[in-house]
Amino acid sequence: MKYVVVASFVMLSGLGASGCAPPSQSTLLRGPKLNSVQPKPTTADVPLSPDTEAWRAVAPAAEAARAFVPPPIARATLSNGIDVLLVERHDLPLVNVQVLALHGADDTPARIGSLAMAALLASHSSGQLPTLREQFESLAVTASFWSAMDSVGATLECTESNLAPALTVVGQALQHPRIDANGLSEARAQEQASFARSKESLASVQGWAVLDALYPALHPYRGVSVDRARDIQVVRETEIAQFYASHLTPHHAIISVAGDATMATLQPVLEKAFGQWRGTALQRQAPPKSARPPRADEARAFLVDRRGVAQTHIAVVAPSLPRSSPDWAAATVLNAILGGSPSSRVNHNLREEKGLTYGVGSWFSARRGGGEWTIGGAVTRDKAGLAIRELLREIGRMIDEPVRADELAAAKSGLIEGFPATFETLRSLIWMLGEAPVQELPMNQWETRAADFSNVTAVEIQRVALKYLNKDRLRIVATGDAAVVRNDLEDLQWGPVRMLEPAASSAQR
Amino acid sequence: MESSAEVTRIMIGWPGATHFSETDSQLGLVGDLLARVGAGRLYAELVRTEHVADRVDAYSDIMGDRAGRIFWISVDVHKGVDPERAIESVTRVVHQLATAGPSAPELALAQQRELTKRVRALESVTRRADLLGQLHDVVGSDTAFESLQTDVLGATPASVRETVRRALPTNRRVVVVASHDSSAAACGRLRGHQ
Repeated sequence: MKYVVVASFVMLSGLGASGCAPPSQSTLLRGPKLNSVQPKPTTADVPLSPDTEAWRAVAPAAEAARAFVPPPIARATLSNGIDVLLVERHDLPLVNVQVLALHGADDTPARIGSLAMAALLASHSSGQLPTLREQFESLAVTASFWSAMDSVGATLECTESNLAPALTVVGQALQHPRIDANGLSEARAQEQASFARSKESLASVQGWAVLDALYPALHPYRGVSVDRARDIQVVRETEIAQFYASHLTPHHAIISVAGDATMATLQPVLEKAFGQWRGTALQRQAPPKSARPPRADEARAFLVDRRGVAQTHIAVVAPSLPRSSPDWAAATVLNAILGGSPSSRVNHNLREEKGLTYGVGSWFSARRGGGEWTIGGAVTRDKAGLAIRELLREIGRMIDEPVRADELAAAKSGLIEGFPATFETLRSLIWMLGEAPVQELPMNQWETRAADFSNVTAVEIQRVALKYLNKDRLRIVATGDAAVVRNDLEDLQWGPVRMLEPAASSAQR
Repeated sequence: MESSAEVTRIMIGWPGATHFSETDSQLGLVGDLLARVGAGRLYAELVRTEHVADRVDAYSDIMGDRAGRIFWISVDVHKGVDPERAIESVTRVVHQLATAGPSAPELALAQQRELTKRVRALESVTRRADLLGQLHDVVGSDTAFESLQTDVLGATPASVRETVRRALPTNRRVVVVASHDSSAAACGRLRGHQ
């Protein structure tokens, strides 16, 4: 700790005294005295001279990482069986709440869910009351009603003082969901506008194309890419009512709370708001099947034509893994090395060495039933072929060679030391609280996270790379000007290039 | 401005206030009064009543801390609607706020939301550091920190009305329309708008 203070002081003193000039000798002399216990060479160990800037060549040593202790989770159960999870934090008078039911798009098309939840928020909960959104507005509460791949629910951002009335409003809404014509109409318009805006983003279109390439037409994880505009218009009120009946149920519901509350004061308020919630007893369905590798007779290269665009979005994609897989930690470390940061292998190669891109990376989703592993980004429009070859080469290296010890150590260190930052805001804390029940993980997963990453070895990374990123599992997806890109894709010899139009309706396909 | 965009977007900008000034705080309230989803004046008029827009927003951008920020009103025009009509509606709503000001309950809610937003900005260590850095950069000390709260709470319907009148006059704004309509003006001042 002492060294950090000295380094900061030196830097600030130097700049303060003489702008960009080197710090004075007298300022630097303060270093060795305080830093004498540090074993590594440091700024202060460099011979002092007012004429040299050699001190800049040695990075300051970091202090030893402190062990992170995750916040404790208090648990309770309401009289109707709803589980309550609470993480207390009292430094600010804020409380976030998430009510989630463990039935999402994995058993109903996502496009119905998001429209249904948006319509609920925009409708009058009874003839006399304002719309739900207006009720939350009048409490100065930020509320969102959402439907995701593996769950559905409502999230509130409150102050401590308006928590109780906000819970009453959301409790009534979820127990007695009602929509009206105006609310549904407004939700349709908002969803259509949002979809139209997304269609203008090449990154969105590329994301939809990845889903189209990986999943069959009716797969729940194919999400919004199919017939979105048409669905928004034709979904009927009766279908939405069925969605509420099958999804908004207290069975398998979880209420997560984080912030300025205690269980002693919270539980009676939650009991009053949600304790009378009854609904059809539903078993949580088995997770959807993961995307599968392409068969020999199936296309492996896909292209979305966007004439005249300035860049080409490229991706090498593969089915990933469920969040609950024992391979998740190794896959996360692998991903960090391959493309998870600006200094990762693919970005170093394509950006720093080849100058093909402003930035590329890799990421994977891991839901109950798996997800998508994507390696790519936006590259110079006529360099897609070269860029994809380099991506494939980097993926191949992960399989063929063990990662270097320094790469492995840096990746693990980044993940372990970055983990506490996910507890920084109530919004991310709430998300973390919900992750365990939604993804069927043990509730103590926070406590083992650092050890999980720490135990990953180079051998294990090679094994996981071979398991998930071998060439037989890969597909190539590009969004760009077909006149420029198509030949490039064909030259890769990944079979015939299949054209996609992910934002079109089935009638246009 | 012409683009291949399917959505027509209007951006109306005014030279705003210096970051952390009293006027800046009041413009934060004005943004909430105009554009919050569901009940803001522009939302109610353009999205709900007239159906000329699908989305509205009003905010001071985060750039130009020392030179002053830009206050923007952004509108996604409903498909098939003439952008001029949406601009006229924005002009009318802003004029109403500049003339009559907000009601007391309307302002009280905006103040509560703005304060909540400012408290939430303190949650993240990174954002706290950013805020302190900005305060030092623009104001020269962190003693102005407390004024972030008092400026919001000190606003009255009359002061907000005056802020809108002074800060958002029609003759000081810039209007940008990004449209897929190839017949739209390529550049320059729109007919009837300074």
